[in-house]
Parts: sequence; structure tokens; C-alpha cells
Amino acid sequence: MAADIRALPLAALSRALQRRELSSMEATRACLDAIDEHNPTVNAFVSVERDAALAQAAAADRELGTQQWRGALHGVPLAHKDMFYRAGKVSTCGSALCVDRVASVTAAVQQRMGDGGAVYLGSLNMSEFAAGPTGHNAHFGHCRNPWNPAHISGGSSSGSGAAVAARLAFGSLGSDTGGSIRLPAAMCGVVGVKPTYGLVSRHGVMPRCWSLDAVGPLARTAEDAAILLHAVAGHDPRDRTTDPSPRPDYPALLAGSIGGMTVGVPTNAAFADVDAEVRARLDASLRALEALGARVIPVELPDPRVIYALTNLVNKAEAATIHAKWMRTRYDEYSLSAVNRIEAGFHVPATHYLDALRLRAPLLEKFTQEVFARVDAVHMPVIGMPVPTIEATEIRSTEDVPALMERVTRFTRWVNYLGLPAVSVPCGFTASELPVAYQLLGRPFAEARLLRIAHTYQQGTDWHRRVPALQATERAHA
Amino acid sequence: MSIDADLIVVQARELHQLDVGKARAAELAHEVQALIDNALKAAQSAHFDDEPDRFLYLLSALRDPPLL
Repeated sequence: MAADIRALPLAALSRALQRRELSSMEATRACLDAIDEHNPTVNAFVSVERDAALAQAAAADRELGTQQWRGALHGVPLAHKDMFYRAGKVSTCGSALCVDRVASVTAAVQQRMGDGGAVYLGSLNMSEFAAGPTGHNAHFGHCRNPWNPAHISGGSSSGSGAAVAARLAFGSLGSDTGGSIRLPAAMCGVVGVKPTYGLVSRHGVMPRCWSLDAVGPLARTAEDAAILLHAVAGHDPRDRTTDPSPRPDYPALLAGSIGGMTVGVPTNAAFADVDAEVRARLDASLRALEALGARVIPVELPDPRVIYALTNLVNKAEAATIHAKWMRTRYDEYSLSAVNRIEAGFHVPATHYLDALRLRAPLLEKFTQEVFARVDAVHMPVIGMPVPTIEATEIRSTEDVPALMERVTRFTRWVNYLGLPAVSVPCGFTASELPVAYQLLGRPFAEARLLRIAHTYQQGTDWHRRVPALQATERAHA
Repeated sequence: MSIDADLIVVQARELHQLDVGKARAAELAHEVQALIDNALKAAQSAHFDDEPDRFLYLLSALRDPPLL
């Protein structure tokens, strides 16, 4: 029975809870038991709040028993990246520096999830301070890919990707500064939404880079992602970058047709360097989208390498500013990997940083006019190679870092500079049974359109229904 | 132009109160040089914008039309 419950997508569980065919207690116990069994293998959770989760589930069931239904997340067990603060509780942010740091505020997204009746199972592993795209973590142990624990989960929302793929939670929130939702979603075979800059409040969320950070869901299906996004999107006066417009009803908008929508495939040289096995899966997904009614055409993008360079500069300068105080006083407590991602920012002249920000609006305008005048969405890789092993992506020397980062994030990072939304969608497996994904990039606030395309694709394919064959093991990979 | 490792050592110490060894400083000099060279190249092919908050304004103004 527990395995049956965990096999349900979030949307199906939600309907079953509302109809009282299942209880939140049953769903929560099923997740907690699975965490006990499989977390030693994947290391997705850094803390599990068993008693509190069961108490929340009991409260959710009591309300449901008196016809009080708070919405689609009522009684649904979730777990989030360990950087969304809860007043009075510790958020480790993936770092030894924060293991005793108690938050004084509750993140807007945590508040919205709690108000919606969601059950909080525990906090998820992540790259230290969200600085790393692979899921390595020197303090809490590396997060591992549920499809093969010798391989990376992707990061920085590593635990989110692994927990959702391993069916340890029904959905998760992550953050994306340069691919940190899309990469673990792609590598673990789940859907990830990097929303438009300003769609989701970042109040009470650990900052990585103020100009690039976005909070969004990782889920088993596009429908589940739409439900989670709907729960957290919308204006928040405590985050002045949030858009004041009313949020669309993402779940309701999934159902329409994609007939007549145009999907662009980049012709730039920057997209040529993609592994043949990955390319074959991407091409097959394009054929599937065509068969489902989309028109697929080639499109030349403004050079993403130029935008990548500017993103890098903004990223480094802001990260160094955020960490300056601790880098001066607690330098030795950072991992080598985190230091390497941050340190160069101290030496970027302010004028270059400000110039990079001054180019942002013109480049967004140019990109939107040249690309989205022709297509509704751009279809491109998330990562151009099969999911690498943990060993192959271990940072052994500080010299390795820039090349590794470029190799893993070249298709994701620049999207954050433009502030555009992107959705990562699983589209098959390599011969070694590791997930492959494409991402859909859209105009500002095109989440509903991108999720409709992804949902339609998932109605015509079954990649999202596959489940990793995790075996209960001792912690053989620690 | 090339950024010297010694400059990184001095800048780290005097401006940021950080200790950076000579070997690491050489790597950082290389990385910062690349960041700046790429940013300068990018700046050549675009015009700058000096309107405050124009990026947020544009995100809103260029938004996707409502889905039917």
C-alpha cells in the first residue's frame, strides 16, 4: 500500500486526499518509511522531521474530516532545499557555517506552503550556499543520483531532484541562480521550473546572487509542477522585485492545445557541442512535439556566450559581496569548492559589475524581439553530456573549477541574466539508464505556456512515469 | 592588459582583509582577467541602459500574452 501511495503523482494524491480515499497520515508515513530505507543511498535529506510531519498530517486529516480543504497541497508531504528559512529553526544552507544559525523570519514560500496545508517532511541536501551545479557537498556528503548512486544528482538543488525522483517526497522547492533547479531536475529525471525573475518571492530565502536568484518547483510531472508553482507564485510586498500582476491559474491552463505554437531550435554554434546520445533524445522529443501539434523551426539566438560572460561577472561580484564578512572571519569553514566559486568576485571592479547590469535591459529587449517574435518557446539542452559520475566531477584543483562550471552550466546559466522562465522536461535515458532532458525557454511570465507544452508532451510520452529501481542499501557510497 | 598575481595579493589584503597565497593569486588573476575580457567584449556589441529599474519594467512589458 505504501509503495502504491508513493507511486501517485502529487496531483493524484491531492485528489485522493480531498475525496478522503487516502489520508495524509498514510501518505506521510509512506514517505517517512521510504526516507528511512533509501536516504542512506541517495543522501537527499539532511534532516527529517518525523514527529512534526506526522503531527501536521494528523491536523490535515482532521480538517479534511470536517470538510475544510485548503487547496491542492492540503495534506501533501513535501520537502524543500535547506535554504528557505523558518523562524526559530536552523537552515543549514548546505554549509558547516550555518549548522547553529537559527532563522528569525519565515520565507514567504514556506508560509504559503504551510498555509496551504502541506506537510513538511524535512530539509534537503544542497551544494554549499547553492554554489555548485553537481550536488557535491563536503559537509553533509554528496547527494547521489537515484538512477545510479555513482553519478551526480546535479545541483545546487541536489536533494530536491533526488528526493522527488526517488519518490521520497511528492514535490520540492529549489532555487536557480544559473541552472540549480533545471540541472538536478534534468539529471534526476523530473520536471523543474525556473520561473521568471520576480514571479516568486525570495523573502526569507538565502541569497546566492540578488540579480539572478529564482525560487521554483521540482516535481514528477508538469501538472505537479503547475500545482506547486501556483501555490508559491505572486506578489509579495516584502520582495519588491515581485510582479504585482495577478498570477495565472497554472493547473487550469495546462489543458489547452499546443496546436499552432511554434517551438524554436537554436542554430548557434554554441549548441553544436552536444553528445550524440543526448542529441538523439533531444531530436526525438522534437519529433514528439511536432506530432502533438507544435511547429518546429530553426532560430538564431543572440550569442549566449556573450550573455554567459556577463552572467558570470554579476554572479561572482554579488556572491563575494554576500559572503564578504564570513570570508574574512570564517574562511576555513568554507569548502574548497564554495571558496572557489566566490573568491574571484572580490577582484571584479565595480565599474565592470555595474556595466554588466546596465546591459541587462537592452539584451533582454534584443533577445525577446529577435527570438520571441518568431517562436513561442525555445527548445534546447539542459546539459550537453550524459550525467557524469561523482568521481569525474570532483574538484581536485582550484584550476579545474571554471572549466567544469562552463561544461555543466553553458545552456542554463545565461537564462538567469535575462530573467526568463525555463522548464526542464525529462525526455528519455542514455544506454546506461541515466536521464536526459530538454528545457523550454519562454518570454517573461510564459510559465503557463511552457508548462502546457511540457504537459502535452507528457500526455504523449511516458518517460516521467519511469521510477528508479532503488535498492535499500547500507551507506556503501559515503 | 594583464592582471598580475601580486595585485590580487595586495588587493585581497588591503581592500578585503583576506589572505591569498601566491599560487592561488595567480589562478584568481587568470580567472578575473577572463571575466573582465569577456565582459569588455560583450559591452562592445551592445548599448548601455541608464534608466533605473528598466529591467523589471521590461520583464513586465514584454510578458507573454494570456493563454486561451
